[in-house]
Amino acid sequence: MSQTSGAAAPTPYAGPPPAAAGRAAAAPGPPGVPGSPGAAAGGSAPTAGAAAEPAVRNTPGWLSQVRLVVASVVVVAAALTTLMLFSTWEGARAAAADTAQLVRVQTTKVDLLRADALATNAFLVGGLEPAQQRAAYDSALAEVERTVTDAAQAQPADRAALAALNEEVLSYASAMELARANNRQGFPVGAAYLNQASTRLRSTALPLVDNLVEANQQRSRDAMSPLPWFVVILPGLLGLGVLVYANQRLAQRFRRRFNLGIVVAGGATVVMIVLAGLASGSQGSEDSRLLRGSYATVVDGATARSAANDAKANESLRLISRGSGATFEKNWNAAAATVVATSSGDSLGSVSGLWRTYAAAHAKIVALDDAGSWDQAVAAATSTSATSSTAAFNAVDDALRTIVDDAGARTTATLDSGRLIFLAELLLALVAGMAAAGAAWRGVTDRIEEYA
Amino acid sequence: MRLTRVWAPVLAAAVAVGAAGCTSVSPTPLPRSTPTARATAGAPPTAQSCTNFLQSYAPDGPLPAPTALPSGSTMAKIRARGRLIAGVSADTWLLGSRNPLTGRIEGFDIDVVQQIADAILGPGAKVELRVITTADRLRVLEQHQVDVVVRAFSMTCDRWKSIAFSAEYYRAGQKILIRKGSPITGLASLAGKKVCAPTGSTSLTNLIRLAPKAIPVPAATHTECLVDLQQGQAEAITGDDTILAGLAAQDPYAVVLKEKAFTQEPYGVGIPADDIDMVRFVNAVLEREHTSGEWEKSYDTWLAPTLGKGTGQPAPVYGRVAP
Repeated sequence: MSQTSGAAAPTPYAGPPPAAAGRAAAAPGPPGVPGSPGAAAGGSAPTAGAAAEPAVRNTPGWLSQVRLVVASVVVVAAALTTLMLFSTWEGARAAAADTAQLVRVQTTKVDLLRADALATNAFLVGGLEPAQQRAAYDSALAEVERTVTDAAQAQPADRAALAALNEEVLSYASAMELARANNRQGFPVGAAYLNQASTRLRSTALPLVDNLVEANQQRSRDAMSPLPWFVVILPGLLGLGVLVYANQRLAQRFRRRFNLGIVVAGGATVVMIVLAGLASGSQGSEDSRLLRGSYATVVDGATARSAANDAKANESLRLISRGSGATFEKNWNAAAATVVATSSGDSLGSVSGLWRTYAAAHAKIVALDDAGSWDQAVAAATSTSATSSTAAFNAVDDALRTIVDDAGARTTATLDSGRLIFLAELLLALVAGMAAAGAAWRGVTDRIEEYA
Repeated sequence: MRLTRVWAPVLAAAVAVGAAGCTSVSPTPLPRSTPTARATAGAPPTAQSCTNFLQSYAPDGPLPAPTALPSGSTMAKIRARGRLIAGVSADTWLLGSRNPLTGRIEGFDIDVVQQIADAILGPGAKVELRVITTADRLRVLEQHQVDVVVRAFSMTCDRWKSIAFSAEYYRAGQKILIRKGSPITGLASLAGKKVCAPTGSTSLTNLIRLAPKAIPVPAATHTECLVDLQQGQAEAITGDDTILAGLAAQDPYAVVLKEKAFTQEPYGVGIPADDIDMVRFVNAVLEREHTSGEWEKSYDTWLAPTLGKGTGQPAPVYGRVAP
């Protein structure tokens, strides 16, 4: 294919004999200096038109300009393509990390609500706090502390919010200890400490966690929206266009249809475009698959789980406020609506049945309380038998925890697994781009050397 | 030469784009802190604007037996329901508080509730205790959510405008509780000091009226005031001597100033304004408490250990005409 004669046959098109060409190349000195009369005089080419005359005189200068422009364009195109691919690659890494962080902060919210529900329940029963409940409260708070530390390490942007949250958790825990100490002595001020701690948890700590959840959800969504493939291949196409144009201009001047170097550069650029398009296209479709699939399960499952725990805490608060619990029942209903709405999909389908069982147990407690049988309502709410509201709730919580953990691990693993292949494609695209620049440079250099 | 001139900006641009792509995570925002409303009470408080705030409706003769309640009366409806619904406090020690060890609500006010319930439903009657805050007291009566409110409820002219009271069943007086070693010696030294009292209480309006230079710190209940005092957010608590005695008993560093009470707080049973038959009935119950010695017994159990012998059950004042 390609050239009519090999690069070794140094026959410039304009017809000047090699000697003349040699003179022309030698005379102008620095490229771009106009009017090297030697070339014009020696040239006095028989075939060259008047219009072509001055260009021909500057041919080596013009060629080195072409060489610089073409090579630069291709290098920039390769660099831009690589950068865009790199940002997509980085996006997949960030998406995996952000999803893991999202699961962490959602877990923190659940643990806080759970600790509060346990502490409130212990007060409801009266008398000595059951050791088992105390242990569950302790482990929920310990998990909060651990998760906050992990989360602060994983995402520096969350550190300020997590530090503020840590402060709130500390003051919550110490208020709860004061509540307990007073409670053990039979002082009602213990209940006031409990009430204040619980109110403050909801007014200060939980909004912080909500901010963290929202920020990480936004971050992971953003990270999972890579540049579309047709944007990523744009610089490559531009480079290809410049190569085609350069080849045409060279062909006009030298009467050879193809410059081997430029053609090789074009081929390498096409390889780069195909690699970039493939890599970003497959990443894009995988991301949107995740956003609809396991990632959506993480978000919905975690939302459902914190709403479920919120509902259970409100069940206790309703009873502890003893007859003045209308607002807590409203909160319960709002949280229940969230659970029902988020667990309607296939992935959380198994939860809706469990939730209905718990909701029925809750309805019984409400009926007892509304009928004035507060003591029986408390007995039903704090019972740990297999048919109790607490057991039904634990089944919901356990199911959701398993679903969220699995979906989170699946999302992270999927995002991580594609990264090596993507990196290989990225590096190959970079190599192809650089090769294209080198070939283009070489191709034009050959023409220049023909003048030497 | 020329090469470096051309490539330098290209490389710089590439590095800049790359760097921008890597570090664009904006920090998680912190919720804007909204300063908690340390509000003062709304309307400018006044002293009693009438003279008959102690006056209630006279009973219709002697107390009827639970089985002989007038048909169609409020009491008959309560009997048909099977339980009395009362708004009470669960954290005012000695008057009405939840015993953390048994989970039961008990105190001087709760004894009054039980007496009323027994008179309607028979001995050991079922009572539904609804725990309400100080500020809830008027609302739950106006909306008929409860039959009675027995919760350290001072009889005032303003409150008579929207609800009714039984005759006075206890005479309390407002005092000040301080931390041990505090420079506060009485009402006059409260200027510039943070003083806690429950929202919607006469204690708070009296504080604003009698010590206008004090900084009022409202809380939901008196016991939450004790939390504020223990945590240093309040320097003193003002309230009825009955309530303050209960607070002081929970904290060895809290002392009630030994001055004369600066207001008189007559406690009445709060009843919806249109249940006048119920008011008359409750007054008959209170009279029976006096003759049977139930009142004395209850006082000795709950209040005598901290407040001393006291002046006994106040004599009822009747003569209010039904509107």
